[in-house]
Amino acid sequence: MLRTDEILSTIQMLHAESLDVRTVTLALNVDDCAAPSMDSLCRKLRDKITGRASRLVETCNKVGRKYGIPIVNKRIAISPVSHLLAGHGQAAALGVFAVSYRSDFHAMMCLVNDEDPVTIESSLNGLIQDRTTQIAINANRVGNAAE
Amino acid sequence: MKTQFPHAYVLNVLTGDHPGIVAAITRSVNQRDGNIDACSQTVVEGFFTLIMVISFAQPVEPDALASEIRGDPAHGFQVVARNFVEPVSKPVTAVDRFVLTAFGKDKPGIVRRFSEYLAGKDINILDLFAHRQSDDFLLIGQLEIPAVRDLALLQADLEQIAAEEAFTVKLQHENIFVATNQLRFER
Repeated sequence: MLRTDEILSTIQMLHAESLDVRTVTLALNVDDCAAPSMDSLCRKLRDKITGRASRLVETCNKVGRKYGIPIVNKRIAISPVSHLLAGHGQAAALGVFAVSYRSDFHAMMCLVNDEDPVTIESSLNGLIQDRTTQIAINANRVGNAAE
Repeated sequence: MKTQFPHAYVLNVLTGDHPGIVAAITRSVNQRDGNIDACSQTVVEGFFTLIMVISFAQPVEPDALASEIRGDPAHGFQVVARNFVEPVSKPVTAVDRFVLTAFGKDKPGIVRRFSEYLAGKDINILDLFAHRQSDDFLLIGQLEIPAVRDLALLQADLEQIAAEEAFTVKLQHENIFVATNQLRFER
């Protein structure tokens, strides 16, 4: 049985000291999305991420309500895309990068020509030079994308 | 619960709080070679109350036992003793433990309002704490909620009641309190 002072101290943490769960991150290995064509690769990436993460926001909110603690950020981290991009060239990489750049899963289907090429390219140069870079996607919009 | 001896009794004592109450009660039990099998005691605003399961090798008359513990009426002990019978086992239903906290301006009927709602949902209150300070009232209930209940609906109903009573209410799984206060990982 819990003691009253324990319950009150937790209430104090939550309400007076703003205790929250800062971030829940869903990590996905996307190495199995490798494909000979960019169209296929983007489709597999989109299917994998939306398939695994479509209920991330809903689930986090449900857990947050159960315990009475806010979960502020819901994120997805995918394994290094440099593995997928090997052999596809920089132009193809821009298509994948657009996903993280726009934080929007619909971007999976898009190529880079509707983005600002200068901004993307400068970011992408950093991305492809750092082979350990992981793309983090703001998943707060995943729920909207799935609706 | 299996008691130490076959003849078991449940004992309830209420009196003004002062040192030596437990000693006086246990002395009476000990004089009859009894055993204390379970006990819970608390003090509320200067009043002491205790519930105890005790057992003896030989049968004891509950009223005689109560009278003996009551002792000198000048002590002001209110004592009730009765035969301890294991509660009839309820059908096993999965339950989860939650904590209800409610806070607001005190007025009559708050505990009734929440407890009637919980009773209507087959929710058992394991522990209840209430305290009035200035004009504010704090209510904390540790609850056993059947797993079949939809938590979101319960929370919405309780918030509705709270809004009508101008109270703030929270219903949270107990593990948030365990995780933030105790080094107790398995439940």
